[in-house]
Amino acid sequence: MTISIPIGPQHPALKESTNLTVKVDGEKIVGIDMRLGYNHRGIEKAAEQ
Amino acid sequence: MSLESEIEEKLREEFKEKILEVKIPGEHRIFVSVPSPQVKELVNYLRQNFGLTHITTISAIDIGDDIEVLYHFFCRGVTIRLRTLVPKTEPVIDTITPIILGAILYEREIQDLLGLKVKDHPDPRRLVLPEDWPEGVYPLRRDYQVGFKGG
Repeated sequence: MTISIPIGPQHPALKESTNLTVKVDGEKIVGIDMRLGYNHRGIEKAAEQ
Repeated sequence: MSLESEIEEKLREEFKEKILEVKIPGEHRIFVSVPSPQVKELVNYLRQNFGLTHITTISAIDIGDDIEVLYHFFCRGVTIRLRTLVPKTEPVIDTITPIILGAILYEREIQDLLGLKVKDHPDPRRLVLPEDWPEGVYPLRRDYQVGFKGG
């Protein structure tokens, strides 16, 4: 059986906002689901305009 | 013979007119341009014959009528750049994730930001954009205008 543990978006161990949903089976990490983009600064778009 | 020349020779032999351009712009670098339906086949060929496993990134840009997609690979000391154009009227490209697993997030990113539909992607959910972002709005397309938010 796996348990999902959410980490973030705000967490002292993270360098920037990221949401990680870690799926664990006992002590073992068996999967991860990530959500990015909280800090997207749109530099590509800014440079284009 | 250097690896990049070997790749160039083999690609010309194997793909012939299906390849638009192959050139070696410098030492340890190779540039390949192909039509978008050939991308998957070519990546698979490089994987099978040259042990290509590492993708550095995929970058894409809206250049008017087409979306230019650049795949950046690194294979045994050689940087491989693969360029393809996908028409905006039919913005669909085949996934390469089953061949090079590292492409999974890059493909989701370009799908989000440029609306380039990645066909048969194993996990086509949103990556960068928020859940409440409207469907069919692609922020890195030229026709998307950034609103002035003050400050």
